[in-house]
Amino acid sequence: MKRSLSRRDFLKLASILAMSPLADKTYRVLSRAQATSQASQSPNIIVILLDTLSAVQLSLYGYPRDTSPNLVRFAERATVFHSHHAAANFTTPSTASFLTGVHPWTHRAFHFSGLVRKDLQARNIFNLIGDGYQRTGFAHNLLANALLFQFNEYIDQHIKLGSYSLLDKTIYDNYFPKDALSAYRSFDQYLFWGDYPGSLYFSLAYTLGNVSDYNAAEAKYESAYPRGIPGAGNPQLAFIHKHLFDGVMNLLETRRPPFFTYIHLYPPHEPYLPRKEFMGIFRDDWKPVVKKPHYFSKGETDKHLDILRTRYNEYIANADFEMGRLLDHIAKIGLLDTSYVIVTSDHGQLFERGVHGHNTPLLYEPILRIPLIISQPGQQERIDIHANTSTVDLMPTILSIAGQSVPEWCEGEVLPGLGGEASAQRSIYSVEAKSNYAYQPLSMATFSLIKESYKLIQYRGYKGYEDVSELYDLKNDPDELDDLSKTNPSLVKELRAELDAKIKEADQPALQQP
Amino acid sequence: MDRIKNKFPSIPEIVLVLSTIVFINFSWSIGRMFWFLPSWLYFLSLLDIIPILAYVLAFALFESLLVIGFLMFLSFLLPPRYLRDHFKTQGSLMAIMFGGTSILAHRYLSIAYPWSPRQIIVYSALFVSAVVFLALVISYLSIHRFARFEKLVAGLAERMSIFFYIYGPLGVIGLLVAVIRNIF
Repeated sequence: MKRSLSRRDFLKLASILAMSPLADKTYRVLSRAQATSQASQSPNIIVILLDTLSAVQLSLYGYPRDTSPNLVRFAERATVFHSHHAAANFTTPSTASFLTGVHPWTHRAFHFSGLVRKDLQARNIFNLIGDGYQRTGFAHNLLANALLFQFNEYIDQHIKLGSYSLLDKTIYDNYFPKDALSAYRSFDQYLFWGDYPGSLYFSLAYTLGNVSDYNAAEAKYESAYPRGIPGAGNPQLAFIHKHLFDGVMNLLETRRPPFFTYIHLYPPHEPYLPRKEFMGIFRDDWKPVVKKPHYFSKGETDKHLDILRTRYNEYIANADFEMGRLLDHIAKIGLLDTSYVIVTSDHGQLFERGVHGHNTPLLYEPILRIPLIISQPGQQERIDIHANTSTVDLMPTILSIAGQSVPEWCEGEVLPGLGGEASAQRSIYSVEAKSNYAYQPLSMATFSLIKESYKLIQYRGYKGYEDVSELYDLKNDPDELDDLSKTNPSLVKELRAELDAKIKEADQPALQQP
Repeated sequence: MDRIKNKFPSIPEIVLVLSTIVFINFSWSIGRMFWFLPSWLYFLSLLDIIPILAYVLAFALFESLLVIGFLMFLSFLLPPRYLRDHFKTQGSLMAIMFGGTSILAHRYLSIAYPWSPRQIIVYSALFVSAVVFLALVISYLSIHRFARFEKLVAGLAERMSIFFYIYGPLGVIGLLVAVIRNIF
């Protein structure tokens, strides 16, 4: 056996070794080019999520007030889903379900500013859609932005929370982008937040500075916004709609195709502060069906709820107007022909049974039923889908559109009309579980299960309202007035058994804290 | 150089006043954190909470250094008898008064919400000046008039020094953790 290298062999080996980094680089460039070539045939995907937009209060879905003429116009060339339901009743769990394709009891982000389980965090839409897409995330909501920070390594461009606001004074986003989540909880949620913040001196200066800037902005826009300017949940994020939507338009103009852009906009989340033109546009005699106060009523009178509902409707009309501008712009720059445009929400809002808002154990339709309108590239006709669908269906649908396979663990299905099949037997789940430890079985929570036209609402672990079931026939009783749980106990039992099995299954991995 | 140096109090006195400030700031920040802790435990693990604590400790140290810096600056500006000569006791007393006033100011801060930006600047400046002036006058009179009280405050400040040796290093560790997390 020849033990030493000849001069010729040495030169051959040296040339091969010298070439290897180049070869590796060439291979990478070629692979990338191949991926780019495949991707160049892929459509763009634009998600526009309007926070707290209840489908029940949109004229698009039959609401008597003309709250959404622009969405109606957009729907003329789109697929409209009539029974689309949020996976949860507030931003964190519902947005996490959108971005991960699993239910809140699986991703466990069901607290204010909670995050997806660490062992599941790579299973998100930005990662799964692949780097053939330019991936952009913009959340104009602190809770949704926290989720984007969790998925930051998979996002090519994470637009700052206050980018299109009048004020941009959040600390974590501006000063600690490398450690945003810890800084968010330390500074924005603790040291500089609340009546008695953790910082003894600086918080005073910070709060006064914010109040001063907010008041100055309010004075400047007083004529356009007589009720005050909105603030994306915080005065330090005060914005006016035109700037916000213009910012989004500019953002879309600068995307490199194919792109996936997730835009989470704060309006029409309360406080309801519309522009002057939209104030008082619904001074009419219309009254909704009066519903009896619930056990979990917060004591809101029907009269006050009517006032709040009207203001919410005005604010929806304002958001719809801006959406009209945005969608027209998308059409003008040619993106409607090359892109899937998805318009949806994270949850709705309740104005009934003595409750206003969505921070409640109640899971009635105004809180869960959200709009979903999807315009396919070049679509000219309106398509209406009446099958039950869920927030968790959006990730598999987007992956399918992008030509990616849908992972087995995904709990959603590809939407009917976009490659999926409508199934009458499909079960749609929603949950409210703020009062539970993320890594322990759910003990105090409300669940909703919709199957065919029936909806089971199950309350568990609430003191004085423990283990209560309500059953509604949504087809014949869309206002959920007639509780059928007493008259149809067998169906309650059947749905309850299904729900129990599902929760038991979901609670198992939760017992092992990552 | 010596003239400037003489305008400042001695280092042991500065350390004792800093001890009082550190005690107030860290106790407040950590105490408030324990108020939040139960809600964080619903969804955060210990590994998530440690960086939050690091920021809180680092910031408490930062605020403490600013307060002692301000008191030293006052000592530099004023004739020695008004602050420098009894810096240990007067400074500690002023730090306690600043802390108490700040807590009260937080409670009534909403009064300022309707104010215009100009009013906020003017009223805040007046308020801060008044607090500093009153703290200075009260501490000066009480320390100079009541020897027993001065002794009591001095004893208190000396006992606080133990907290400086606990909180101080914690603040530095917090600062290091915060810096490392924002570099890498």
